[in-house]
Amino acid sequence: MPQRLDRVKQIISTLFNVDEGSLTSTSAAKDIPAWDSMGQLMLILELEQQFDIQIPPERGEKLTSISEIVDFVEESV
Amino acid sequence: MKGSIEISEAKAAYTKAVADKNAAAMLAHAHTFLSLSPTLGTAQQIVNTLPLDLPDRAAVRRKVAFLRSYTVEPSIPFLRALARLHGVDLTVKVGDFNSYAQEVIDPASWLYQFNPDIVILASQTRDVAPDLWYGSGDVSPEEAESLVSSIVSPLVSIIDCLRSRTSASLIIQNLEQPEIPNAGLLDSRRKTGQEELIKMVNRRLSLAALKYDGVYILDYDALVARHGRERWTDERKWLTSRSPVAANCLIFAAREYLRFVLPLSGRLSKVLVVDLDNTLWGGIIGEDGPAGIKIGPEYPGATYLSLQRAILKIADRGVLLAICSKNNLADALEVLENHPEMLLRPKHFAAIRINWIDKAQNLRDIAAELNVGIDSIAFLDDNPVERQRIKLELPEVSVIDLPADPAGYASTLLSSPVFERLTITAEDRARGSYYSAQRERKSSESSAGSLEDFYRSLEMKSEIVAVTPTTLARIAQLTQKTNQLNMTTKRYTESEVQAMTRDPAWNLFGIKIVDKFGDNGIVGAVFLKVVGDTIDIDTFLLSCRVIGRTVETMILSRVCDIGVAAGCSKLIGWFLPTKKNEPAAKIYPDSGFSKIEENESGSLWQLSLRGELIKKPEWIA
Repeated sequence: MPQRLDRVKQIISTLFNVDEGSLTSTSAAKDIPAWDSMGQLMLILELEQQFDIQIPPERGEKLTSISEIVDFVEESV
Repeated sequence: MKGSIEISEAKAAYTKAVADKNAAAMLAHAHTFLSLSPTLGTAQQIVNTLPLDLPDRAAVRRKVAFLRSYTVEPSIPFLRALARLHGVDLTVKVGDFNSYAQEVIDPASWLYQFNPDIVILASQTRDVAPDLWYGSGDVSPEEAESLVSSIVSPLVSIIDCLRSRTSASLIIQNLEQPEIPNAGLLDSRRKTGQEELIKMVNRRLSLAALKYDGVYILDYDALVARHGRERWTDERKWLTSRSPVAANCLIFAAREYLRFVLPLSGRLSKVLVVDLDNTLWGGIIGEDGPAGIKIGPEYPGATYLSLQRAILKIADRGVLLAICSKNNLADALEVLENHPEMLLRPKHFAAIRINWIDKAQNLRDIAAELNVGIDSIAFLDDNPVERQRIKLELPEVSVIDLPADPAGYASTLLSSPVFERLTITAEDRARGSYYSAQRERKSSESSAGSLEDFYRSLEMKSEIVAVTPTTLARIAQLTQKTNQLNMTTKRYTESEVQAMTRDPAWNLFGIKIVDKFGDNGIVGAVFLKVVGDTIDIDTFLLSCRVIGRTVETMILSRVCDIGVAAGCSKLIGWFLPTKKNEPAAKIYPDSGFSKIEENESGSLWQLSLRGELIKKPEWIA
């Protein structure tokens, strides 16, 4: 769903202070300096609040690219 | 997500303000956006985009160092966003996990190189006092003493070392209680159970902090309890990321830090400006009258009484109080001076603006009169439209966002960080009374001129109306309902009034008042009876909407004219006191009547029509 992709891009862009226009579904943690292990924790907290979901830790640590996040949100919401 | 439409709207409004580069609108919408959607994303967006400087408020910059035993990072964007809303730019650095002792002891550590203004020691019971957290507290009093000392002493050493090496303000979190003590109910059966031991540590820590300048205890236990121990902790995040605070509570932790950061940044409100109608009391004085407004020990008046108590507590911290209300001055003063249930009286206010002028202008005037910057003003008003207007017109003002339910007013005010003080002097406490004394002196010097200006500014026009089929109901109703400015409080039905109009001895009329704010309709009634050469004022009443505007003088001048035209030599009128008509007591003596009789029901007043007659005030056309 394109809307969901936009929302995830927006979250990544805001949290890690990167230009939303530069993000694609393949953008990943390794490309964004602020998306480190602390960034990962912030991201999980934000996703849990934004989508009102609980993310199991073993799942959370794998959410390291925009497409993985979108897929996960699709299946959990 | 709950209220997702409101959130999208708030986000869109904020985003638009950012695109428009409208700082006031950004600030106004940022407050709303963050309170509706308190997530890390919102906080980070505010940190990324909200400007710090406003026309009349330069940014303050502060450096904050966190020494910590757990992951505090998720609360930092919230703290920085909240500080930014108040024009405080925070640079934050965080130490390593559980390394604070070394960081404090080593003079070459990052801590001293960073040279912070504020140091926060963020630790939790399980890290600082694992024996207490995991133990059952089943110890002898002697063991308890050494256990407590073994926890407090290292903390005091850290405080001592920090105090000797830096002038930064130190904020030390105390120890939170567990959700349930390890021994369960048995804990309370022990003299030195787990909860008691934690309390002992916290008491000892508080006393130690008092010995130093600039060392403050953040009551972390009270903070967690306030929001609920179960809700506060996210055990899974603790176990996986050492981040114990649940996502929904991060903003509460940040708000608690903000309570210290604002006074430590000199960002505080020195004046609390309050509205009157539906804020200090329930209802609208101009419509409901002093008897109709809600204030007192019973609900709903009790909610407003609670707010008045809270306002007095804020004043006790050295904050000046002022009034800004769209009202008739006399109506409002009547309540402030004489309503028996009011806690707040004119003497509590350093400045009073009760008029029909735009509130933004009034706030500017109040700031000038009290010689404070506009950014030292806080504004308390139930009306969201007025609040929005001030936010957009005067973004420097701290607008208190009251909830819809008045029952929440008092706690909202008391929890506002802009009134936090970390020290208070005797002078702070006395400041309010000094200003109100000065205000009274000033007003007695200039009241004559300004009051006449005020009357003139109302552009009042009066009209005498006869009792006709169209006015009969209203005039009879006025005799039934008017309590305050009513000389005799005689109640008449429509048919009684109708009958009196057919009797030539009676002269009945109503009074209409139109002013620049509109047509007030029929606001008064006078029933005169001619007896020989005397005019007896049987009924003389005026709605409280127009009290204090000299309309009563205008009416009496009219009565004089009627008396002279009828060839009478004097006016007489009874004043029959009731519980409510105190405002009418002085009208006859102030208008030159003399008392000729007095009994248990009241007093009889007389005015000769042979001498000087009462003049119509020049400002009423």
